[in-house]
Amino acid sequence: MQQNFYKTRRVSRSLQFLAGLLRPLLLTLGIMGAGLGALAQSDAKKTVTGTVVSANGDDGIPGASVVVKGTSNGTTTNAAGEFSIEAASGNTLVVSFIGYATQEISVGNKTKIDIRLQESIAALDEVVVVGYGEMKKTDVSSSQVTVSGKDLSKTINTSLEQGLQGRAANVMVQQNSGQPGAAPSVLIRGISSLTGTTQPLYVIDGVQIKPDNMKDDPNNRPTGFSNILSSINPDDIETINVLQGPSATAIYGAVGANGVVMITTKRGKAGEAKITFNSLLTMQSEPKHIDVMNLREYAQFRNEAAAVGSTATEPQFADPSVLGEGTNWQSALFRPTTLQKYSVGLSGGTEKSTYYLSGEYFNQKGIVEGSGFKRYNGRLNLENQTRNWLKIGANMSVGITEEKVNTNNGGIIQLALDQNPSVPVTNPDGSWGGPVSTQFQFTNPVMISKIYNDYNRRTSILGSLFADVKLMKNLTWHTEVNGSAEFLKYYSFHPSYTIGGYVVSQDAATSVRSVNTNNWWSLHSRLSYDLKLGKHDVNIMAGHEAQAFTYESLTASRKKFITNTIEELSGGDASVISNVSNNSGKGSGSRESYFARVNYSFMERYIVQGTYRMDGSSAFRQGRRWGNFPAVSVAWRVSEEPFLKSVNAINDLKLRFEIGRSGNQGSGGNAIYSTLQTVPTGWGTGFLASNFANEFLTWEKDDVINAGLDLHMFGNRVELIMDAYIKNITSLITVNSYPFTYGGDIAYSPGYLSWPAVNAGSMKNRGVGLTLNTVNIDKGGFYWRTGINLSFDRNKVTSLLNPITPIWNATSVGFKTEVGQPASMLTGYIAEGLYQDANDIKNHAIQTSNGELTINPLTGSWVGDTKFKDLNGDGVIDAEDRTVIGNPWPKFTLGFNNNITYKNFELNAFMTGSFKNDILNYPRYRAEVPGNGGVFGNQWKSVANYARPSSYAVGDAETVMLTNPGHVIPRIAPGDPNGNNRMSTNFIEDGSYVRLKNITLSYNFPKSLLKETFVRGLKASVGAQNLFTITKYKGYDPEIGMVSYGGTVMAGIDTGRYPSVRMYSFGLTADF
Amino acid sequence: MQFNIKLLAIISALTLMQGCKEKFLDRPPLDALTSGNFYRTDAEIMAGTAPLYNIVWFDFNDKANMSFQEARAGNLNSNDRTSYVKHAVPSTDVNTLLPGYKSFYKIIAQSNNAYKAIKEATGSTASAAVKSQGLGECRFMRATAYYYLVSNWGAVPIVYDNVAQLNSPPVRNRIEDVWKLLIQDYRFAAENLPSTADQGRLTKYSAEGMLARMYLMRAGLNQNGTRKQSDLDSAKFYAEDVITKSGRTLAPTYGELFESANNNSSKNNPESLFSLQWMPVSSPWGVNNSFQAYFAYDANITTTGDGWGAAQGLSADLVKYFVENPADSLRRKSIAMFDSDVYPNIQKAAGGLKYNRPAQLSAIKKYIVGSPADNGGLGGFMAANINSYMLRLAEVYLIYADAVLGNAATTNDAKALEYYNMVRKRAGMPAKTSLTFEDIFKERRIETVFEGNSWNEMVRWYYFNPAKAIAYTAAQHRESYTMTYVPGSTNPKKYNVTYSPAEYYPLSANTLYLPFPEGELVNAPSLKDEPVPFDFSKLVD
Repeated sequence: MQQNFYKTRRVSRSLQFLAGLLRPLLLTLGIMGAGLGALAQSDAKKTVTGTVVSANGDDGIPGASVVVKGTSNGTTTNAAGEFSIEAASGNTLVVSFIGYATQEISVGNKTKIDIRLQESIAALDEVVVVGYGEMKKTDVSSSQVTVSGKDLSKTINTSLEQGLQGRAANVMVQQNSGQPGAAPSVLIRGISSLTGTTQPLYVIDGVQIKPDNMKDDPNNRPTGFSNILSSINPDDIETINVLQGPSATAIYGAVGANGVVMITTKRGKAGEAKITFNSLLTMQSEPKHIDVMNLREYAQFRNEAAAVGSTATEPQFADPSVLGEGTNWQSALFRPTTLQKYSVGLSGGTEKSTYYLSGEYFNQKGIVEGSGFKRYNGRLNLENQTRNWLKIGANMSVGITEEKVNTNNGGIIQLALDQNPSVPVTNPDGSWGGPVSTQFQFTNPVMISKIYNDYNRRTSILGSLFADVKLMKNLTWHTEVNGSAEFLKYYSFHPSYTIGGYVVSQDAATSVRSVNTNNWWSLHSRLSYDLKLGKHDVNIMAGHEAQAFTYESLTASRKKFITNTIEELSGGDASVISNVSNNSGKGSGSRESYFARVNYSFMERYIVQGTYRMDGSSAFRQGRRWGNFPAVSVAWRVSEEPFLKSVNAINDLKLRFEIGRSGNQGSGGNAIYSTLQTVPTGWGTGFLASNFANEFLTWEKDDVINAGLDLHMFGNRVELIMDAYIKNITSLITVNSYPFTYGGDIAYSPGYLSWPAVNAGSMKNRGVGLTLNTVNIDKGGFYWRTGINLSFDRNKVTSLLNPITPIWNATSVGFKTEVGQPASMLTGYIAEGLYQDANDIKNHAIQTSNGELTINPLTGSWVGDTKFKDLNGDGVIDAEDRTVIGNPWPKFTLGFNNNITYKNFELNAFMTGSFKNDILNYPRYRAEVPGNGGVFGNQWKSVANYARPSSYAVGDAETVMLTNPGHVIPRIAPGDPNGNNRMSTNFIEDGSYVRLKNITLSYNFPKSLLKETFVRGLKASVGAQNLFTITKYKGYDPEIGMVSYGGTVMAGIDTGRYPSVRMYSFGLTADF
Repeated sequence: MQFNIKLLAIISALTLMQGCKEKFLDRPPLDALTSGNFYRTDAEIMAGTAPLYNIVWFDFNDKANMSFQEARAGNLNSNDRTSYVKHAVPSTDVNTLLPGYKSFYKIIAQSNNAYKAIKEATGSTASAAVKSQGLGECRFMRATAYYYLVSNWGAVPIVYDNVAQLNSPPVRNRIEDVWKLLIQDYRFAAENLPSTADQGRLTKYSAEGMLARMYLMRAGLNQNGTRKQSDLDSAKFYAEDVITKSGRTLAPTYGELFESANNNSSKNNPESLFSLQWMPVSSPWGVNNSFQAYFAYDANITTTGDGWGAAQGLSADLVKYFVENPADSLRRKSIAMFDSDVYPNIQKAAGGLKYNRPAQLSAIKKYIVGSPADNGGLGGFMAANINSYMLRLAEVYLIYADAVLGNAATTNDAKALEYYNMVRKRAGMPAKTSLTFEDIFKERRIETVFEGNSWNEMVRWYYFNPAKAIAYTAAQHRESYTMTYVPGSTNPKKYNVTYSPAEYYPLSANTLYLPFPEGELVNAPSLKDEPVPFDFSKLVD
């Protein structure tokens, strides 16, 4: 009953809205009709032909638009750039093409007109994509950035998000892993959620995708590192519009808070069919090695460790000088390898119908065997003007990817650093080498990379159908159905093996098979009405959308494989119940939305836009599920004012101001329900609560104020875009860490309850983005263009229930989110050097856990142990002395692009940089507390400088000295009674870097050379990606990225990631 | 134009029809029950408390139990639990200390949770008896967790309503209040649990047995040299009730208690009053018993990819006891493997396991059951098919004797002697005619060693006589050693034991309690504050 009432009320509200919309519409129809006739010309028509070419080449520009000014008479150029049009001598032709400055040419008595278009950095009359529609660029009053598909193709990208790196201000893209196919993290205007995803919403031709943050949870290892975006061919992208301002994102209401990335794929153009072929061959080289000990050095270390009682003496190491280098595990593991990509595109069409068809094959092998990424992709985009009042279209992309993940991100690479050089890769007889026993020792990483068989297959389909119905002049009804389907299959087989004394028995051999499907659909309809009344321009749009997703999963595994030749479950042992495991899962979510937008401009000078969206989400209980998201923006095109019209230097100056609200529904999951997990018991299946529920959960609110300006100067040769924003995030949906005393946990542990998601906390993000695009030289065919963008983003937590303080993987690695600081700060102790003598220990706070001054090499502190700062001065070093020791967020980031063309050559150099961010170097921490990773593991070369006390005898407590003062690495301390393995400032490093991301030199073969062939255009290019990186960071790669751990964001912690590598590439692009 | 207006009307109507019912936005989980619609029938209540017998205890049983209870009590020689052997436990220990602490509070949280859910279930059709039983189980489990907490950390926070307390910092409550609460809980359990139940489930006598243990321990709390008679009387009362009325009996032999066939979640031992009910599977992780994985000295014993106990074994102190008391050989062989011992039930296919390990440690035998093949195909990686005793009848016999002895120097009470000697007799040990505190204390140590109560016994002694407890631990040998069987020696077998230089780690006031884990202090610095009295009026019913 209540529900019916609710619905009725909503219907009547909608009807009122519609009536209001119709009134002005009907009133103005007559006026519109009258206006059109007045524009007719009376001159005699003639046929004008010509070619449109690019100013810096002979290439014809296909698809350029040629219109007789002031009329609807127009055409587009064919594949060779040629056109033919009826025009009178008094007419003016307007020739335009995206990326080029529009030219106007009077026809006069000419019948053949060749036009050279200048490349432009900002064509003002471009139409840009906005949420649920498109808009003239000059009318845009919100902050948004367009990145062209051409820019994306200048770097080598496995997935499209990677191509965004450094391309737009306030869009921070970080590669989380060098694992081929791994999804990067994309952060628009700083971190806006603590426990939900921080990735933006992607809208690919209407299909909405909001990826999760990549997980780095050893208890819950990702089965893959890629997401559905990796199944899209970046070559298919025409433009990317990054919506940042609140007025632009508010139309996406509940999911727009992290920013929106709108992706438009290529469409066919009327004219002759065009065939494009691309090929790319890339050599990937090994990363720079980390200096670890060779066999002699390691043997020496082992002897010294044995001497202080940390391990038994090893006869084989008795005389290190007779030993060789031993195994260099990094050399053994890394290999140079290839990346190949081939794609074909076919596009064309008639005035009524256009098509775009493409196919791609992509194959990136990893620099570690057992990692790699392959993709097969096909796309078909169709559009048809069925009637003069009806236009329909469809697009569909099918991608199949295969991701090889034996490496499990850092797992195998960390093993290569851990395994000691006395273990051979292979034995003289060709069999795999291994250590003398299983306990405390490491397996053979090279073997693992080859004998494991872990891979994922994804088939994904993205598609949409739309219809545009022109109900009346200027009134269009648009409806579309979008859908995505993702089928994921995970395979894992870990065989049994025996290498030396290291045994993984048949009982432990495991096969896992898993199938997951994710489906999403949306249905939306909108009415849009354009009205031009003298100097008034109005555009009104209103619509409704419903969407839902479902997921299902099925997982099974078996253990105990008698033979490693059968990897399927049938080869495993089903007779023992504990060898068999299977499970399934299922769930769904939905959202319903109403939205409207009014854009009004007066004299093309004053622009006001209002946006409103109402969203209802299944993530919340009835009564709390509807959220309202309004926004308003204003813009003033100062350059259109008479006082600036005469200033020739300024082509365009627009001041913008906007304010609005977006929302976030958190994980969208079951936080409002307390679910029960099943537990096998002696009396049958038992049920146990698995989370604390919060039925009062509701929307997170992001209120943003944005001010910006767009300035074009000197014949559009200089473009400056500036934006400043303040984003207030309140009712933050957080999963707080509470004391364990209350029984919950942040990550799985047996029988745990996960903490509740609550609306608690707030954050404030502030930032400035600067983009400066300039044409520096345009003379005699020499053309030099630069683009710089600088981003300053600051995040501060302004309120929070409890500090969020996860500890990564039960180590000493911790990070903390607390009020007054940015999220996810690195924590640890402040190291103050080493104990020099007994007095030093006595005068220092007590570091042993029993709280008593203990000067003892086995049970207490000793000379050569690390001193930590007693922050609270209570005379004891304990958890309260742990503090923030690093900030993982950069002070600013940079993208810097240089493009030089001369005749047929083009040189493109693209740099990215990150400045003043801290990195916690966990691999170095493991290495530089001697014995931290066990003495059977190899040590870094730097460890040779560990502290050497003159004695290890309790009796010498008063006289023991350091024999090698001046270093920071502590002594070898059996059992570590002093707690040298506390995380400390010793392991925080400056993560600033500048990287030459890509440099490419290409050559366009002149038409004259190709004349006698069927090839119409040919471009060859050579390039290098990640050619050099300037950094002080001591790990493999300073680009650490941002992952999700324990349900919260973890940034700047290098857990031993798969490094990004240098790539040398050769590419060919041919048009037929 | 009229046509278009009609079209407009049609399309507007179509657009409006896309509006959804509110139900479109109701999406409860499809793959899990929710607590709001559970705990309403007898079967649901029993299924809702069953997991309190295994998964919530995993982190305690996995590593903490042997470290907290046995390593510290001087029973274990171990290469990777040295900080516990030496009473130098770092608060930063995240492998054992933190999971152990978390485990007890998980037990408390899940017990509180299930208790509340059973009480507040709407539309319940469950019988009063089963409701009581379920509630009794929750309170019993909570009390047991507090027993371990108070013994290991002393003053700890009392959590009685997790949701209500979540937003305030936890404060520690006085030791005596923790004791008061847990005894109150056990008494509730004794009143609400049935006299008989499904095999393996708690009964009234499980709670009474625990009450006997609790009263005996609390009798010494805050006392000086003597114990409180009223608590001793209660201990005696409950012990006697269990002995005479529970229907439990001693297993005929000591050894069979620790065989899989006689002690698993499908078939509990008649001597057991409370056992953790492990499953021979490990999915979800935590229903499995990982004891054997860590303590079997060789991977060939388990054949499940574990068996990492090559450097784990009996402490020098226990070895000395068994070498000096060859008469205690029945228990010895079931507790420890000595060089040349043969175990026919392990590696059955090969004719039995021979512990042929000269010049090595004595490995642990208790709870080592061998491979799945040795145990009817049941078991798996870190999942031996055997329950963990939390309380068995033999101990109640010894508690009775201790309670009767009370503050006297010796006793020759007939019943006390009878029960005490029943335990001795099964072990093949000569009967005693008079008992001292030390006699009973040591008997209880050997009888229940590695069953996870040894450290609490130290604390029990320390409560009323710290000097003696310290002296006792100060004499315990904790150095390393190797042993070799002297070939040909029989009745008794002889061993050459070579001890490293003696090491002693006496208990002290500072090491009596474990440090609070750093990972918890970060979240709850309030744990450093002085303990406060608990306001018992906050407890509803």
